[in-house]
Amino acid sequence: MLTLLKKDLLIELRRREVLPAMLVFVVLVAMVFSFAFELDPATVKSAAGGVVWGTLVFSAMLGFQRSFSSEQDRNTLDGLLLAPVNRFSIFISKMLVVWIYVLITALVVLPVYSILSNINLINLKILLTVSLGSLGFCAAGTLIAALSSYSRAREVLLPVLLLPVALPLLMAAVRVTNGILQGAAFSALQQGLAIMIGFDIILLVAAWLMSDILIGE
Amino acid sequence: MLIEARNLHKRFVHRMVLAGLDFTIQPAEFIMLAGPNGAGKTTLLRLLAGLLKPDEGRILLDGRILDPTSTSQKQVVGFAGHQPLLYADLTAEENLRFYAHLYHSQNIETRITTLFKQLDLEGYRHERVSTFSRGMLQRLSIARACLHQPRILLLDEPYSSLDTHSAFCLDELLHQMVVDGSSIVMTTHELDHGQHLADRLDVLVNGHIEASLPREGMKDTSPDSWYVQVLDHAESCKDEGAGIC
Amino acid sequence: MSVKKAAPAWLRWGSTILAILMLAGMVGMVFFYAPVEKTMGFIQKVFYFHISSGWVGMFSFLVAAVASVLWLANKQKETFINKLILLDIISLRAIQVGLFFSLIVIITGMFWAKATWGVYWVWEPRLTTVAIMFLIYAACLLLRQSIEEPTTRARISAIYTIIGFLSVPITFLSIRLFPTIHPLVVGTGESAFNMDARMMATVIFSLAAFTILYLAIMFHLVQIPVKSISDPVSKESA
Repeated sequence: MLTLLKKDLLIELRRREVLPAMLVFVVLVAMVFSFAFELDPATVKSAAGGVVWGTLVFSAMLGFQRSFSSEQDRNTLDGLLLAPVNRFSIFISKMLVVWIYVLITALVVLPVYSILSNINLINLKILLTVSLGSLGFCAAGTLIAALSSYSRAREVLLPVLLLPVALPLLMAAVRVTNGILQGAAFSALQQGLAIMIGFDIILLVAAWLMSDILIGE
Repeated sequence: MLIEARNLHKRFVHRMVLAGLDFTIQPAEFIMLAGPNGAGKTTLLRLLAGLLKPDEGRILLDGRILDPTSTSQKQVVGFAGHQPLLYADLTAEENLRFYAHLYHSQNIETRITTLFKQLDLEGYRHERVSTFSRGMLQRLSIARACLHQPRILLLDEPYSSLDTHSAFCLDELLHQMVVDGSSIVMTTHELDHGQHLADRLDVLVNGHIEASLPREGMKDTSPDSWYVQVLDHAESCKDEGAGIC
Repeated sequence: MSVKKAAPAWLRWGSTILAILMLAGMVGMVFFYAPVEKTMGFIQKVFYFHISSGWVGMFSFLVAAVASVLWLANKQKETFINKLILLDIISLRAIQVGLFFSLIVIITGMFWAKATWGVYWVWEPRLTTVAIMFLIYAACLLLRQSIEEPTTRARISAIYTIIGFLSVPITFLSIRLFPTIHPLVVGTGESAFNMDARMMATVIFSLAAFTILYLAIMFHLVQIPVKSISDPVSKESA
């Protein structure tokens, strides 16, 4: 498991161009959102949650595209399947790599968008919400990337398959983020947090149960 | 018996690749597998490696059914196919070390050094795999398959794209593996490679083993002409229809 | 490769005739037996078709999920290939039929919404979750189309069908868990419907009629190959 993660991270590090490109992309997405909504100071606060999550979804999507298809282009997945490796650890390693990516982009997006929109998005509660929500999204995304890697049209199909599954999670995440920004009490956020935690657990358990039939023949 | 495969069937979309194939491997046996293109040699190796599941029939490894999720069975098998299964962005050594860790191998460093020497890759140890030529990839891929000293080594055309010197290195390595007690199944198009090591030459045609020539037989007849005869015979059977041969 | 219907003829045609009779009875009950609702008026009649299609759509996705679970379970045990083909085709047909009935739900719901709420669509929990459910199963059909190898296609779509089934209980429970303006028919709560006994009888009969209709449609649609694909190779080498 650690060996796998080390290998995946090492490969990502060797492709030095990916991370900077992703970060620039993410800043651009945040700007596009700002223009698209023509955000004025009155509405900027209510749109912040949507912009942050929209941006993170786009950046994560780039990560999912690479996670299984990069193994498959060179058929290195066969190498992992030949080795005495638990298939769930292959899944977890792929998921963690994308999760790390998303967290790094979040660390860039939050300050950038704070400056652009003049509201403070950097606080522990929001970071926690982002970690929790992106974990579930990465679990769902990795699961579905593994499915769509078998298909002929994987680039198009991945978002089509993933977004409806992840929508309940994203809606809850946006609601919680906006709630925090508006200074809502914890009790008002409880339902959204419960949905996010439930989603994380269900997706991880589903991946654990199905990893043996999901990966490989 | 190390591996016993009975009545294997495998179909891809609408093409039947293997149809009722039986195959056995004894400990420390060296088997050469020949056959025309598309006969199912690669499919058979992938089935034995657990990368594919048979549609029908069963494969027993040490008397237990081959289970693609069993980690203990994977320690026994090594496989090198057409795809090198190496990471282009890692160096040769990093690739081998990664796989060695996956197999929980002992004495990783000495094993890797030995293999690099045996396959004459010492000079490229710290180069990225993306810069490798086909022949180098092929050798590194074989090193990857031998890394954990598998009791069964499955090689799909290991001599293709190897120059004379590399082919000689591979001969030596395979000889060493057999001496150490490993069984080897090797598909090939050129029967001269590895012939002196082979215990048996099997011909795979039309989805099953059409004929088999033991080591003693190779002395009496030339394997090349024998192989051509087998193919001709199989072809004529096909023309005359079922039930005659 | 030739195919035949999986269900025997008596079952197919028996269920068809029963479904037609019950649908006729249902139409009669809806228009002549059940009283006209006071506040909503005549448009409320659409509700009997709405709720029945809703039930059948979700039931159909349940059928697909169960078939998918059985497919995966049997694949692990390596049992007969024809059984797997049957389960795969049941799953496919159940998704198609489920989508059809879900579409009816959405369309009838939109007309009803226009009449009672004044708009065709509102972003409230039930409508949102139904839309998500519909998109998931539509995506599942796209996924099937894009995988060529039959066993891989069956395996991958089975996994997605099971994951996607999460949306069904969420949809079913959405009006029970979240504050919503969508009426609740079965069960009690703030938004529960006050129904007259004749209305209730009509609802129950409608549900039964649509269930039989669903079974009849499935019996007609589920086909299996007559023989496993003949293999020229083994014939030649016999």
